[in-house]
Amino acid sequence: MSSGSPAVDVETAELRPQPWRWGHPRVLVEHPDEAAGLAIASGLRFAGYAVSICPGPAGHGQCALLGPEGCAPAHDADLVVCGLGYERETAREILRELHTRYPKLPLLVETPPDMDDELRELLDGCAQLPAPATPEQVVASVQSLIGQGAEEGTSGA
Amino acid sequence: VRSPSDREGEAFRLVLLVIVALGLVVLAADLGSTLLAVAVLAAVLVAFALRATQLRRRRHQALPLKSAPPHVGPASARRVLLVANDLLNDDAVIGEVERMVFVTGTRVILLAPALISPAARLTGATDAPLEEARARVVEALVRLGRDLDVEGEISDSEPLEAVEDAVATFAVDEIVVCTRREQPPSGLEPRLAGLVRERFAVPVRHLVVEPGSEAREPDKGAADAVLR
Repeated sequence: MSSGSPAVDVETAELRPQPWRWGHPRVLVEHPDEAAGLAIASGLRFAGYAVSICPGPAGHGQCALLGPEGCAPAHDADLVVCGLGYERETAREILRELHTRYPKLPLLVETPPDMDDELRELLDGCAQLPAPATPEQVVASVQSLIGQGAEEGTSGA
Repeated sequence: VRSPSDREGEAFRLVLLVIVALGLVVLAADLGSTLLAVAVLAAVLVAFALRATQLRRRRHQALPLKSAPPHVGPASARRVLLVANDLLNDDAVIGEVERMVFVTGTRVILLAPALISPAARLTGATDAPLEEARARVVEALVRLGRDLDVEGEISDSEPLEAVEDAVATFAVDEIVVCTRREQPPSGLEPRLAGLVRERFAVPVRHLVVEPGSEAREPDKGAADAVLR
C-alpha cells in the first residue's frame, strides 16, 4: 500500500473524465514506445477489444494514478497491459498504485529478464509475460485472462 | 456546439447556475439600476467564460490517451477514414483513395468537415459551408464511381470532433488526413494530423498535397514519401 494514496473508495468513485467512448471489453495498454503500443493495440482491436494507450509518466508528466483523482481509463478498464519497463522505480510506483487503487483489475505485466525480490513481490497476483512480448502473445494472454473480445471482432490479430 | 461539461451532474449544476445568474440580473434590473444589471450580466458572462475555459483545458489535459473501438468485421476487412475538405477532389487524393480501395476488403469513408467560422457557428449560418462540403463529397463519389467501396460523410462539427464521431461510428482501422503544407483560408489545418495522431489508437497518416505537385507524407521517410 502506498503511503501517498488518498483515502477514497476508488471502486465506487465517479472519476472524470469518462474516457471510454466504447463498450466492454476494454483494455488499457501502458507502453512507453509509441510504435510498440500501437502494434499491441492493433492486435487487441482486431481481437474485439476497445483499447486505450498510455505512454506512462514519461509522456505526460505526472501520472494521473499518483494524483488524487486517479486514472479514469484504468478505473473503467477490464484489464491493463503493463509494459512500462519495471526496472525503473517510476514504473514500479505506477504498478503499485494500480494494485492499491484497483485491486480487482487484472494486470498483465511484461517482466524484465532480471527481477529482484521487490519486483517479484510487486508482481504477486499479476499475469506475466517476458518482455518484449509480441502483440500475438499479448492478445493470447488477454483472451485467457478476460475471455474473447466483442463478437464483431475476430480472433485473428 | 458541444457542452464543455463531461458529466450530467456538472451540466445540471450549470443549468442551476444559469437560473441563479439570470435571477441576479433580473433582481439588479428590478432594483432600478440598468447599469447595475449590465454590470452583473457582464460579471456572470465572464465567470461562465472562465469556467468553460477551465473545463476545456482540463479535458485537454486529462485526455492525452489514444483510444480506439474494437475492429468490426473479419480480420481481412479494413475501414479507412480519409479526412479532407478543399483537397477532396485533388487528383492526388482521388488517386490515393483508389489505391487504398483496390486492396480487397478495404472500405474508405470520405469525411469532409464543413469549415465553419466561429462567427458562423454563433449566428447559425452553417448552411453554405455544409452545402460546400456536401458538393465536394458528392463530386468525389461521382469521380470514384459506384463500383468502389467508398462512402461519404459531412459534418458540422469542428474537424477533430468530426473525426472523433466518425471513428466512433465506423470503427475505423486507419485514418488519413489530407492538408496543404500551410493552412489556406478554406482548408484544414495541417496540425490536425498531429492532433488526430495524439488521440486515436490507430495508424494515422498525414498526406500533404500541393496543387500541381505530388502528394507527400512528411512523417514518413523520404524514400517512401512519394505516393504517386
